[in-house]
Amino acid sequence: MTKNLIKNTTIAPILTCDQLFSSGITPVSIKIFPHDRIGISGHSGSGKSRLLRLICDLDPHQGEMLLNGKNYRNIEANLWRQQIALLPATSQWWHEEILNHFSTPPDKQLLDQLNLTNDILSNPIHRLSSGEKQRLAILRLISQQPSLLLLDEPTANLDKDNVTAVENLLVHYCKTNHAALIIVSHDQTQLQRLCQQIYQMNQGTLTVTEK
Amino acid sequence: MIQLTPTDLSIATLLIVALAITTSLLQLNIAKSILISASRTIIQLTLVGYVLKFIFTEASLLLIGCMSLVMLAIAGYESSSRQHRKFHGYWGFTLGSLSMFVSSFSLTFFTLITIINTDPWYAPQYSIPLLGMMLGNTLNGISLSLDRLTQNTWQQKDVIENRLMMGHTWQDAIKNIQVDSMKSGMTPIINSMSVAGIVSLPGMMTGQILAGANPLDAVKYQILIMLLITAGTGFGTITAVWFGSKRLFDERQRLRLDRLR
Repeated sequence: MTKNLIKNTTIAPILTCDQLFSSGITPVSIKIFPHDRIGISGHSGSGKSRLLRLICDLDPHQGEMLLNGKNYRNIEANLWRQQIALLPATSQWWHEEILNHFSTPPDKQLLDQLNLTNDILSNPIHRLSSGEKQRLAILRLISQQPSLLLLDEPTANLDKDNVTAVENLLVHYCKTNHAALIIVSHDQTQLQRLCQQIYQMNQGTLTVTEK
Repeated sequence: MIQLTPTDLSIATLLIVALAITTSLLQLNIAKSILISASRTIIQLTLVGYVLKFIFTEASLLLIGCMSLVMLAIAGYESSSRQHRKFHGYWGFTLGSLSMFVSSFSLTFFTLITIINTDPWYAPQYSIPLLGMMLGNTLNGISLSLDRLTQNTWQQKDVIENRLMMGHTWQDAIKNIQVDSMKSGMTPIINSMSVAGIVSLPGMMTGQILAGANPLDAVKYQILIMLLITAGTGFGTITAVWFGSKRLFDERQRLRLDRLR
């Protein structure tokens, strides 16, 4: 049903970047549509994370960005980031308990999907492993219902089963919410599995590769 | 009041010399700074004595205004130079001076015209020492709180940015640090209010009693001063932390640590 709907209407991009750049990043022009899953690979320090920060509007930049056709200058920065949310490579936690980091607690079904138990939410932060924190950070991010997920090495700390669980969850999230994602990963096979289009970042320049 | 003669002061100076000799025998390596700072005390206070004597006899508003501005500028400079991570350019100085201007100047003015009711309102015997005490104390609060603000922000950069990445406002992202910094600026003065008179006899009151004032009158002035400097420190600290943390973010609510040195 959703497929028909999409075919019959002209789909507008969620995000349009027009000549977006800053020092160290050559201008990037890209359109991200609903259901897009875009991968970026490249060496450490090539500018992958910096590009995600630019799109999230965390660093000063040149060029234009539009969210659903609206210029970023006309959208409050915090509202921009609620829609275009970034998952950093290392998640940060600032309250004692996990639960306090969520505006709405994640439901049991989501926790199950990522092999987490409900009890974990009342645990203090320091009791959690880095893998558990990483999975909870993903839940924390999608609980805000962003329309574009920017993911910086989201599965770096996870074992094989959990990598699959996270990937399935992300694909499902994009499908049900008409959202899109941009994922940075060193794991080429993950990008092949997950993405419809893969870009290569080389010394600050983004180029399309295969697929 | 019993007049002190240069001989009296020389005896006190000999104590400092004795201390310097003792420390150098103990190899503490601070004899030089003891002697230099003692000389500075003697010279600076003597000079300020002459300046005050001149201002007291002239009692002109212009002169008093200039003197207060010089005091404010020095306090503003001190507040920024005590930071581990300073704001770039003139921002640190401006921030310190502005916060002290808001709290110390306005409260001193308010006190002179409504509480003490001096005639004329700028009577230098009252205005200058009052302003001096206000500035000295708010300076402490402001530099403590700004130091805490910039240091904590620097250390918790990742946490703040993670919150921004999720769409929190800059106010939410730095709230904890603001609260912490404001508290740290006010804690010393709150502590000294609670032990005043029990553990320590405040300097101003001691001075008045030595000068032969009735202890009960001296106490009343001391209470006034304590309350005023607490209010001044509190409002100054709030102002400084508020504007300081606003400066750490730009119009797109990005954390801008490049604005610190």
